[in-house]
Amino acid sequence: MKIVVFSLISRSIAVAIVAASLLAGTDAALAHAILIETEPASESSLATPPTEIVLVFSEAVTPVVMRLLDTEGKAIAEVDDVRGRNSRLILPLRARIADGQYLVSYRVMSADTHPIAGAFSFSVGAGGKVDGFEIQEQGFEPARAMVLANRLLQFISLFIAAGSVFFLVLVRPPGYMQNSLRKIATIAAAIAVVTYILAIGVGGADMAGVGPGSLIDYSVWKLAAGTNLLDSAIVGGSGVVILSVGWHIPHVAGRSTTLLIGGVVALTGLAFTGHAATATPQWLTAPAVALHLFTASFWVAATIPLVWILKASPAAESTLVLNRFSSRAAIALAVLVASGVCVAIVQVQSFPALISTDYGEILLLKLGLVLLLFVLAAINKYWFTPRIEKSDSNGVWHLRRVIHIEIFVMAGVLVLATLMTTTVPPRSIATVARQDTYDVMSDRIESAGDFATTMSQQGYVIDVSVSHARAGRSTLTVTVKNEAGVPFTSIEVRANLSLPALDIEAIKISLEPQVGGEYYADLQEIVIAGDWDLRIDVLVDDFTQLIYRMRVPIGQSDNLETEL
Amino acid sequence: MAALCLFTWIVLGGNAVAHTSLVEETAPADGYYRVRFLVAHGCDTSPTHTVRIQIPRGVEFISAWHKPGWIVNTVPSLGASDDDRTELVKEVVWTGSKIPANEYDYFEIQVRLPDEEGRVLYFKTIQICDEGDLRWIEIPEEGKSADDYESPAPALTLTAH
Repeated sequence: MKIVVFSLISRSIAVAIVAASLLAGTDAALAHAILIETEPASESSLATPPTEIVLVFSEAVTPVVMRLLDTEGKAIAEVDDVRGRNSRLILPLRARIADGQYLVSYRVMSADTHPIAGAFSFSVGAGGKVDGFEIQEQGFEPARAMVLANRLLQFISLFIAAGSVFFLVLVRPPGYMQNSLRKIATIAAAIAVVTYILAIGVGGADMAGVGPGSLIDYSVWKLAAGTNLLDSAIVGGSGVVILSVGWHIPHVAGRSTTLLIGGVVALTGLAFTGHAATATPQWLTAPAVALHLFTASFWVAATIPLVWILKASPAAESTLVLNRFSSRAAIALAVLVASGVCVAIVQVQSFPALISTDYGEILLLKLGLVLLLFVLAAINKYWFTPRIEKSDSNGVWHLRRVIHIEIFVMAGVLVLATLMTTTVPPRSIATVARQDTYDVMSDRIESAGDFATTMSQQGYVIDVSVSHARAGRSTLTVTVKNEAGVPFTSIEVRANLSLPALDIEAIKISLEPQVGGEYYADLQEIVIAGDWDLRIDVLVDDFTQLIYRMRVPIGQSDNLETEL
Repeated sequence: MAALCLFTWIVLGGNAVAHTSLVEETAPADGYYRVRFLVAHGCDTSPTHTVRIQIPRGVEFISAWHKPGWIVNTVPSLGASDDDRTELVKEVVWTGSKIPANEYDYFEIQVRLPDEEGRVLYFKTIQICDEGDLRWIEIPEEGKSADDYESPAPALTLTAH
């Protein structure tokens, strides 16, 4: 027994080293990118035409489509001209554009191969109000559905192919069973390779925003081949090939190791795309995700041989295998839960995010199903397995039934896990919220010096923020809501700033209503640093004006080449 | 020339500072009373064509004093009153004529004041001009007085009977 354990451990270490070196190749700290800022600002009216269009994202993205269109839908500038393959995409406008209304349409790809698309409009010259475009909501995309379906199939086939390897090595089923297992594993492996390859094509279609029919178009594949989908397919595919080889070679010395390496590498291919294994701290999340995948595949694949054993084997053999499985499974379960919790904490980050975000809700549902699986496994172990030891045939029947239910629940868990791969985790949302706004003029992130507060009066809540709180460059944003958090449209919002220390009388600020119930003002006239008194007047109805007062520290301006 | 400038500055300057206010700023509590509003100017150079006055809680509106050329409408308050015989009036609106931007005018209402000595009643007033409007609706915060505001609501302080 000790020898077995020792060799298992040494093999596991070898395998772990392989996995770690593969995962080290994935890009760190890249999550689901979000658009932070644009220049010109959305729905703004410019006096003079811009010389370039700038899109600022929360992290590095690759542009797929970026177009400037006029009201007739003619493209004036396009993606080939885009400079900058990082978080700031710049589309230079070679010619001076005429007065009128324009639409910027973009589609970019973040490092986790998720596409982000949108559009915004602006106008130049005396055109005034921007209302010439109807920006349509993006509805159901068949390409996205294909990505999810392919991924689900990928999970199932990979888990069976790799998990059967783990079952073979850890539980050592009888010889005749190994033959059947080998057949199933080979079929699953073939399917897994196909899904890895298909993932490139459907991923490309999703990125380009085209329909499923475009899969025959070579450019769609070429597009995706430039991303880590290709790396994922190469690594995962190689792993699947290795494990298939391992299954079919005779029982030589290195067979188990080959099988294990194949299984591990095949699953590691999954970690190349998706945001879980790239979350910081990567030294924690990458191994956690890997362990989660290994143990999950073990559980999923185990259900197949277990059902066979209960159908075909004599009681004594069944009991032996079942007991062996039970003891391994207990450890695997602990690792599964621990690694899952680790990743969940990093991705979700806070309890409120668990119930308020889509990602959190899917996770809770998944946890519920996993809990159900525990209960079923416990029933199996403590209730029915002992009965089989006593050669109780009823016990066999019940155990099989429960395992069938387990398979069903596992399928549900896999569906949810698939959905989670395309849902933005709270970690990414939080990154953007906490991140200081990019200075579009220079490449640096403005460090703190932002002011934000929330005040409430007579049932009306205002969120006030002064960003870049520096002399001459601050901006003021006010949002009015009722106590339930619903944005409220007031008749008018005014502000004035005074600096009593220097006897500066109230400077009137007029706030412009923006999209989304916000009011915005440029505080360029506030050129002196100090503790300013900000007063915000909200006209909630004809006769009711609420006055909110607060003190805003405005810092020294840094002398940058900010003026063009 | 200088005298003209000075004169204009005094007249217009003076008017720019004058608020819409009450002629009498105190009144005895619990009794019938005529509240007189003075509208001192329009919106910059634009004449006033509508005046809206909000009746504070606890004050019972009886009637408006007739102004030739002007039509009076009342807006009832939503919500039940204790006394089902009369509808509570929330707002009184004058329309139909114009006050030139540089001229004074009086608006008067007959009310019954509540029996709350010491209370300050704010009769919020809105003037709507051809271009723009003036809202005399600011209520002084703790520790401040009407002088600290640009558009304070006309205030009536209740004294002993």
